[in-house]
Amino acid sequence: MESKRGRDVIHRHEENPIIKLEDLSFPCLNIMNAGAVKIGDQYILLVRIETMKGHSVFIIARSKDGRNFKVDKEPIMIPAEEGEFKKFEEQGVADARITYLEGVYYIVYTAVSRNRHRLALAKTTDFKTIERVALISQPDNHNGALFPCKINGYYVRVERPLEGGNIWISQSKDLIYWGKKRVLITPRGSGFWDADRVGCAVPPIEIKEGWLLIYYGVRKTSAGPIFRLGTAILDREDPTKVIGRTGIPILSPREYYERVGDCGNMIFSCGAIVEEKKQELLLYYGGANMGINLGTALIPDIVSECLKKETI
Amino acid sequence: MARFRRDVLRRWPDNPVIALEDIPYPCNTVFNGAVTKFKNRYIMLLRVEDRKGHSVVVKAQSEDGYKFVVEKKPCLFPSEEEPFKTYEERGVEDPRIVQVEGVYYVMYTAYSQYGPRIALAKTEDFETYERVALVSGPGNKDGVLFPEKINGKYARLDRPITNKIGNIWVSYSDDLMYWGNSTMVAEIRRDYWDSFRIGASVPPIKTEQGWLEIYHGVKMTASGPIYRLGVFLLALDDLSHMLGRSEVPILSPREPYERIGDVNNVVFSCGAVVEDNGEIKVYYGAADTCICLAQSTVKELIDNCLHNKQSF
Repeated sequence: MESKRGRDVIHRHEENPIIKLEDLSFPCLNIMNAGAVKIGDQYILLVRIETMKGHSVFIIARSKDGRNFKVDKEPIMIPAEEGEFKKFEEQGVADARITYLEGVYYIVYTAVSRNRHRLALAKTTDFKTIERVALISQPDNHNGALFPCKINGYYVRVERPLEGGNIWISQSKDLIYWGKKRVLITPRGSGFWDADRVGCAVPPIEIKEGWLLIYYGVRKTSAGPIFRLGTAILDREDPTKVIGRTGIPILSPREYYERVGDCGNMIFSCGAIVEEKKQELLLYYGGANMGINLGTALIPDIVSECLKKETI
Repeated sequence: MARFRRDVLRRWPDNPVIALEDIPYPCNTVFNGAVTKFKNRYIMLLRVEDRKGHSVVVKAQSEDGYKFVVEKKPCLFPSEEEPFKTYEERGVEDPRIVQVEGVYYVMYTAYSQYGPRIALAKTEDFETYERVALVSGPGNKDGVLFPEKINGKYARLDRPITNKIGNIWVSYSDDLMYWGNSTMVAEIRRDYWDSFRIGASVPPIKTEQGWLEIYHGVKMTASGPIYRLGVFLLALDDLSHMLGRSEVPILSPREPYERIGDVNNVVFSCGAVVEDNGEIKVYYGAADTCICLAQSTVKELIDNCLHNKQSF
């Protein structure tokens, strides 16, 4: 059923937010930004929560229908207690993006420390234990996500170094050493909804036309930033080529739970699940950093929005 | 009797070594020269800022290290070929020369609308140069390659900017193209002369005691930054192990040619030559307007790293 406002390409679920602070069995400051994956008939969200101290950790929520979730009793991943990871995660682990690659669920997340944000990689096969792989970027880099297969023999990721606020793409032979960085998507500048900064939201989704990249765009206003979601399509064989990009956002903060919270006017996603048969996208997104919400759309509808020549 | 000596490095009395008048064509400024000895001559690669405001690299040569002859046209300038073209459109800056396995590598800063990033070129004769790769993300400068592999990997120092602050990091590579395992090796020191930003200056010099690094440190003041030079020593086989770091700068802007220019109060080095007798010639850009020389011995610089306490 269509949302009552119907202004966005993405339709909001009637019962948003689907996971709230009250659904946790312990007190927390924030809940937002979940990585998402479907294993068999189980829907799994790797949810970022911010503890009362103000540091982020990951907790799992599970569901049979993708709408009603039950949150685990305790976090599955907290800042590392030893070695290099300890040094660079001392203030938290944030924004998990899950990619199923070569039989393993890889999680690109943000390690937060006094040395700022950098990308880190972990993996799991069962979402019972998560193993860290490596710290894979330099500081001030966010929003990393792996492609779900090698392309021309290389692992590929998107990332968002803070400098310039652009989405970049780079490649690797081993997931540890990265190179060939190129700018992929740039903010469109003043007058657009994604004027000032862009970053990958959902890890790239393989579609008939290539790769669907759901990204977020930021426009700064005198009262703070507005975070919205847009999409681009990348060439399948050469994902450094952008072959389509929505002129308009596919989702903008409008509802109370998106407008009001610790970070108001923020829609931010780290994961989605595609129901293959229906070609339906289940988009999980944080609203104002206070809850996890669900939005849905048919993939062909998003694609046609990306490939439109002009949009008003 | 000379004035009380304030700096560890001794300035050459006929500074500057290369001034604007020595460049055989009109340009804005000359500064930050990389230097090496090649076939018994001193080769310097100068950063020359053209009148448009973009930087190129010009070669100069000398028999004695004091009197240089500058070539009539640039040897490294923004590339016409992708991917370098996109990332060098606003210039190539601050080269550093290192000989590794018989090849001279020039690490430099590629500058474009996407921000500064580190790039690598190579030459065997200082006549023709071949670009190797863009080796960092944006917001990164001051890359210096180590002259040999460390524990089987190429290594570099660099200076990613995080939240306007800059620390020195190390990264490793098998092939000079794909880089990883980055970690921080030297941090700014609050309330010191190097409290705002630090970055590698001279490529690391191998000594019996460790890798000697001459770096630059910046203090921010109400009337702008002050750039000075300092030294630290890293363990030969473990670059994350700092053996010692000088409390005091080895060179601070004092002379008129260091105080006054396009960027006042800057001494900034990109290269030094170690002579067979242990003397070291440190070439440095002064006030971003000319190139100067100051000298010391490797032993004296190491002493400053290891016995560095300023008693008052």
